[in-house]
Amino acid sequence: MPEREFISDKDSEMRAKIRSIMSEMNTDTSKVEDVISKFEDKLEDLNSRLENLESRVSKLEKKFDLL
Amino acid sequence: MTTTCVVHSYRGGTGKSTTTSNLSVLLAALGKRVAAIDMDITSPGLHVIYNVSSQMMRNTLNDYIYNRCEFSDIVMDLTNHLKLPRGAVYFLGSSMKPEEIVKVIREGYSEKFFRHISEKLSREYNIDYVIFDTHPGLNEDTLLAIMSSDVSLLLMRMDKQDVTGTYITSQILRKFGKLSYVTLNMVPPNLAESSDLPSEVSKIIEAPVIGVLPFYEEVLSHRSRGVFCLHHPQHPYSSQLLRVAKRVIELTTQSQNSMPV
Repeated sequence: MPEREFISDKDSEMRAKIRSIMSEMNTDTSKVEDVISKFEDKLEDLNSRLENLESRVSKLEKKFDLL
Repeated sequence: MTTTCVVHSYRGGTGKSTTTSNLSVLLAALGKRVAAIDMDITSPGLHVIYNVSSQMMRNTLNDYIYNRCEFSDIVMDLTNHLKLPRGAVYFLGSSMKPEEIVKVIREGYSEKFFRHISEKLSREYNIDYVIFDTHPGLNEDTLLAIMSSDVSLLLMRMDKQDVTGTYITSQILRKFGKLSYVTLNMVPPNLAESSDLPSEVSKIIEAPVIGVLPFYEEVLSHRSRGVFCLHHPQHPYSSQLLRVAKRVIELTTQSQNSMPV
């Protein structure tokens, strides 16, 4: 049986477009490093805000226990 | 109208197959007809989560590509198998035979393949959502699947490698004219409680975050024993992913409504 038309199109227009776009990405590595740095800072910030919140909740709970 | 959705990630082990299987049953629970396709051609595993045995999966996508069977032979109706009360879930699996895997990697899929599969599922099975579970990374076949799809759902864990990869992937997809939506997966539970997390991460990676799924040991340990949401519908993981499923429906409905008539 002949194979369906779902293979062997390694040089298709869309594949060529993918290769072209990928090879012309000119990824800015300093921008990528900036993204990572911002991400780490944000995680630290969110964690410290959560810890702060937890500590305030804990203090409030103790206060209510005393009442 | 059928919507095609790709579940993708830059790195492996981010939970693509777990998300695909659970998302499919949740969309079905919302009354949708869904087809999940295992496009992780080098390491297919979606059938394991659906509890589909090799006896049940007699034919695969590989057989169809090489004209060894009809389309109906590769489409498995899992609605009764999964005991779904609403909607429908169909499954199309990839071959686990090494010789078939090597062949399809070497030859690659045609760009016509994805459109053909989606059109057949739409016309012959009245499918609302086709979900492609892809191979991680930026290989050509995966990018072909993404380019042929309407929606890309990128899964990202909260670590530096995933952030880098997700940022780069979303930039690439933007170049292709594709908007990707990010779901944060396996998020440390304390961090997942922060209501600011989705918007803050969105700003940093320059892509919209539409869901936050905390890390749950139960989900990880359940992986090969069926679709988690079906066994634990009240679990927070199920309710969080249900929100993602509803968001996917909203987004695709919006984009269909904004299409010129």
